[in-house]
Amino acid sequence: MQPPRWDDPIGSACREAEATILRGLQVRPTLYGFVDDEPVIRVQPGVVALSGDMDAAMQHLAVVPTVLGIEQVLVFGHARLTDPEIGDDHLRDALATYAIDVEVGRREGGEVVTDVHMVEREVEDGEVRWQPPTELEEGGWTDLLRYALAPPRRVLDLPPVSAACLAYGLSRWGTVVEVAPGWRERFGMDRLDRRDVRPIDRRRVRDLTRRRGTARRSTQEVGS
Amino acid sequence: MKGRPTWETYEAWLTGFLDTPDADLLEAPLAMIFTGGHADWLIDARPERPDDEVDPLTELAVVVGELAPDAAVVAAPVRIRDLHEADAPIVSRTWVVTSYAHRADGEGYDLRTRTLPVDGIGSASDLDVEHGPVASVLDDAIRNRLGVAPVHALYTAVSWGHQLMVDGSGEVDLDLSAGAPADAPASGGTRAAEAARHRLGRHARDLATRHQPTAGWPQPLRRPAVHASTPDGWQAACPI
Repeated sequence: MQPPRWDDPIGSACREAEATILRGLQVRPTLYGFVDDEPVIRVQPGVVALSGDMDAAMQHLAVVPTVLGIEQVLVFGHARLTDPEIGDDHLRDALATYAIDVEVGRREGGEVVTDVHMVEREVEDGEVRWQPPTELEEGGWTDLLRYALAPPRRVLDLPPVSAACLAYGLSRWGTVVEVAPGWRERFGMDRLDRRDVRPIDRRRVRDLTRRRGTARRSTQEVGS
Repeated sequence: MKGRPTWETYEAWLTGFLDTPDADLLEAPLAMIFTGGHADWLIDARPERPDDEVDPLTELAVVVGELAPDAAVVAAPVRIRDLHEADAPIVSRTWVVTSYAHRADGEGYDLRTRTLPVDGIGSASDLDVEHGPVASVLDDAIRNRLGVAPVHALYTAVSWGHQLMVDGSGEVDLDLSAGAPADAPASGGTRAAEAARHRLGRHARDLATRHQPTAGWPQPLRRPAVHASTPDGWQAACPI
């Protein structure tokens, strides 16, 4: 599976959504962070975040660009479109169509610039048929983008959250966080400390630290 | 059921199994290990016991993750009862199947959870992957393998009380020089096999505890993330 591309966010987001749509499942809100136009991180809440508390799912997504200082974000997910002019609730729901909401945000100076597109889709004969995208002013994730990409403000005088704790914490709560090759080290997500994790996870952190120590020692021997 | 299940036919095989007389004895999960599209091994899980530190499903997932085959399936039986007559016999049965498949033309693997037809009606359908009872454990076991030799992983499965079944007619590509798994409980196995069993036992207990629903919430779905479709070449951000 290829990650989306900054130069074709709508097409590539829809391609990623297709497999899920063809399985009859709802496309979960999925966030990709880009650095210098390359995708580096993928975040997707687990199903339990969607069934109970969509706000928590949104927060899990929004915190990633904020903490990591990412300035280019793509978010896409399932959208259900109803016609507000239909008076009857049941009829309006029955005639609903389904779409993917694709939103791109980037920070330009002190401003957050967003692009929102809705792409309606139907499934026919085992294939997804996409309508041409419709541009919108606002979508379901626009607030999230504006919040996540806002220039950093120091609200409280707290130590910054480490990228490693962020990745660990979100994963424990069922949110998938994945990174492009080399970026786990670049973000510092491999630098977990025993004190940052639950007791049950400490053995693994200890093994990880040992392996890292061995790797560093052998690299030094090679270099000297 | 005749013949080895293949990657294309295992769902029909599992559904058909429910029509056989043995289906009423079916209380335990089943794992299938595929190589080159054919199921080399079936592992029939041991019954659950009240004093289990690790449940049989988690043990299966740990062994499957350790074997790291081309593809595998962990199938949990589902018993369907009438809500209004909970004491009456089971109305029907099906399976919830979590499958793992190495990507042929890329890096990484895919995980899916599907439910199979009930009474042969309809077709199999996908569920969100977390609905598989061991989806998160299987994902974790695959990504954090101990590196135990396959024959030792199978030896461990047998020593835990699971049953291995292999179709005698085909070629099974597995080095059995450490001793045939079927002999394991009686002979005690080599020292290497015992050491591997000890490590896997600790690993299984760790996994069972790590994948308990997150503290404070009884929902069975609130567990660590399942990396069901990672982009090619990417990895989980959290290294543990």
